[in-house]
Amino acid sequence: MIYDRLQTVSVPARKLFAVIVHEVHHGPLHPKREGTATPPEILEACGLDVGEFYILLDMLTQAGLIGVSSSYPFEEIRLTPEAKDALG
Amino acid sequence: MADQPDGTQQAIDYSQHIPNNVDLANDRTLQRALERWQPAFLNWWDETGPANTNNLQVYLRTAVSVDRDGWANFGYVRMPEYRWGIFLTPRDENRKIHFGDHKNEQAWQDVPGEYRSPLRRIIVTQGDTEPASVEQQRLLGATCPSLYDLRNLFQVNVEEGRHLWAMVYLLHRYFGRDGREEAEALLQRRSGDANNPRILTAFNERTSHWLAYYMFTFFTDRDGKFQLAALAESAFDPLARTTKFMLTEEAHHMFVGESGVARVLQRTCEIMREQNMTDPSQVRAQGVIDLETLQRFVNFHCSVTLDLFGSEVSSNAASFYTGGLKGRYGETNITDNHALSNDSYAIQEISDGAMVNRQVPALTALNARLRDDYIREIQAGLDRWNRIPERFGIPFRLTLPHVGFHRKIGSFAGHFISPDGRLLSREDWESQSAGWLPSDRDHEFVGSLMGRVVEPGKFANWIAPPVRGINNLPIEFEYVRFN
Repeated sequence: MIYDRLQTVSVPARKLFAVIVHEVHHGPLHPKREGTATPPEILEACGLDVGEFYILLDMLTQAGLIGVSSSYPFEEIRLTPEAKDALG
Repeated sequence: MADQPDGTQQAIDYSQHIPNNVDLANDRTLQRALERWQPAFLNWWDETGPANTNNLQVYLRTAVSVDRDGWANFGYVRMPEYRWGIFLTPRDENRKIHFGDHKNEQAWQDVPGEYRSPLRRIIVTQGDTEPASVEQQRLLGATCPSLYDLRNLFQVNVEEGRHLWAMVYLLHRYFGRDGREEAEALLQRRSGDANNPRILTAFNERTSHWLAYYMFTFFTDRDGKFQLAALAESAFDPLARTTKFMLTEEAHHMFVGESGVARVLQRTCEIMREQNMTDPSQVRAQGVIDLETLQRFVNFHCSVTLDLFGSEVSSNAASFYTGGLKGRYGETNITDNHALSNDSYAIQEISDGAMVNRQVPALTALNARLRDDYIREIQAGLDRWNRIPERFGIPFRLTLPHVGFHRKIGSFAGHFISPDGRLLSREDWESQSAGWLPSDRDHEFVGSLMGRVVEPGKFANWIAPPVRGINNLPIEFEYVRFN
């Protein structure tokens, strides 16, 4: 199912998803809520434009791959339970 | 071992004296020239880089690869030991020039004689901005609002230093003795120096407090991004490949600016809502920056940055484009003939005491076009900022000033235009402009808030923490260690 969802988003969005998965576990911002990644660490890790980042974030949210809580610019990004399960 | 025929590698070789992915070890003349420049660079950093920081251990990101999907490595570093080096995006053997008179020719791996002088000028002008911003921000560390912000400042500083290396590599590698002399001069000019200033005016202003710094990284660093993006289209392939990697690092600098201003806004709105107040003087009395002052700083930083795009109508910009030296923003993705020979572009200017639109040849309007692309992007940033007062139910919205407001360069220079685009007399301007631009008292007030906060997890009162930690606690990581 996760594979199907990834097929629905663009290649840059898939790349961002890969970065989010990494930053959820290894992001350099400390401390933070377990299982979350934040814009500062994601943007440092991928070098995406801020505007483009938010567009791709929306795509991933709509595809049910991530969930975003808290408001700009303090978003906390976590994998959806389905994405988390699929990635082990 | 090189991945590419020209020696460029994805991974960066850190075993060398000068880290690089351009196989420097096999070009001993160039290597020796750069190794002679390196101590001068370190002297410059010591003299004009972040003040009193040589012994600090800073949690910095270092590039370990030019691959966009996995290039960052984090760890504690003393800044003078940061591995500044030379990193180019790997070469595409089949890359063709895709605009101008040389369209469809193979991209140049060396500098054609006829373009030597303008290309050197472009590289020197870009290169000059990199050390300038480090010099402008030299004293900010003394008034940092948190360790997190201090670390971000230093990350930006070391990367601006690396961007200087990027331009110096091109000068040494492709411009011979002239290039070496220009590389020396890049370390000799000083931001704000009356006798030997930096080339562009905006880079001679001191960044005197953190609000100015955040505004600078949002507005002025973004001009750098647009210039780099235009150079990333260049027919001169080493320049294009150098600037592509610089853009990756630049993205974070702009996030520092955008999120910095957003956090200032957040804190101000929190106080306004908690205390149920809107009067700027009451808001200031709470030790936060009132929204009207933020608007004045937006007006100032936006207008001085628009000047960096140069004159709206420019024959130099036209010849850079036709020569293939500098493209449009996103040139590769634009669907036209990439020649612009018969196209026109609308610019605004003052004629007979009125603001008018005039169609000019698109080739001569490339500066205006790049500036208009830039304005669209900063407007999107302001729209994100404005979500914050909206969320708090505060009707105030930040706005961009009119493109003609407070301009010193281009068709609006010498005219008096209000932020909402009204053409004014000199007298009207003089009586009203204090309300539109930050005054000395505004700077004094903002400066008065800038106490140094270096206790892990603590933040100055005038700015919100970057993210909410567990149970809404501030983040506590020791991003900078004082030994």
